[in-house]
Amino acid sequence: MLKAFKTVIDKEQEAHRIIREAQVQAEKIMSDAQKKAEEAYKKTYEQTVTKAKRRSKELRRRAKEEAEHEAEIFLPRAEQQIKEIKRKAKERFDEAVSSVLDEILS
Amino acid sequence: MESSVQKFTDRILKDAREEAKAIVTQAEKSAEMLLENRKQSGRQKAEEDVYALLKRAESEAEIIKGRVATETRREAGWLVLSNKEQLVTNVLDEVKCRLGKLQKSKRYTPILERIIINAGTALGGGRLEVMLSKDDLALPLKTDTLAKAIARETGVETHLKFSKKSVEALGGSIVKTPDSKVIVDNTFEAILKRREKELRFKASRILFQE
Repeated sequence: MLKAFKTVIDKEQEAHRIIREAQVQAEKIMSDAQKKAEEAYKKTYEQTVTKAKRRSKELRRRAKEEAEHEAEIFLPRAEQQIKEIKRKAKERFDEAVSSVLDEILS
Repeated sequence: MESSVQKFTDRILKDAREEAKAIVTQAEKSAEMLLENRKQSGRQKAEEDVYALLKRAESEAEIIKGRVATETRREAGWLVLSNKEQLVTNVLDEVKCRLGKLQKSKRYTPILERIIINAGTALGGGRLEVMLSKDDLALPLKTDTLAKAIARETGVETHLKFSKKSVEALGGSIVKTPDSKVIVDNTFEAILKRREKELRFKASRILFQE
């Protein structure tokens, strides 16, 4: 009877040990998971933000390129305008000189 | 008796192993969920920051476009304007050149006489001194005729005296009171300088009219 009682107590202690070991293992799983989760958070965040930074840089680069391209069209237009102004001014040069002379001498 | 104890203890161990397995399984599930939740949080936080980042980049891109466009327009405007200014300057240079030639022409004497009469009239007649350029001192100007013309305009008896000192000028005259307190400088250079803005405006209106 005593032997049977002792056997039961031993087995119960073994059962406690099995559960305690499982609890320790569970705590380790959670602790590891916590670390992995923080790394995953950082990695996911950095990947997304890095991608966005690349896109931002690309946006600025393209804006500058487009603006410079427009400028390349705009300046020759101004030069063309100047040519036209000079052509007309040449035709009206004598008229302008005479008019200023009249103004001075009148 | 022994067999029932064995069964009982086997049961205790079996239950304990099952409970242990459940504890570990639960921990694994929780770990998996935690990992997924943090990934999701990372994505969400990144998306918030990315939204602001892209908004800022879009706004900067617009500023870059605007700045380049403004600089280009300013540069183009400056180019057009400086060319126009040069064209107007060319007109005034030609005017100076023609004024120089005019001084040597027959047309000049009556023009100079009128300039002197106008200046004398502006001074209100009286005793006046006239200064001319070196070349103009040799012109056959009639002092009495000029003085009479001024007197007619002002109603004041006028005496003109031509100074022996000459002035550096393309033409025109300086008329002054004997004490030099009031001077009318109508040399061509002075007229050009005094009326430069107005003359440039006049020239540009003719040169650049549409």
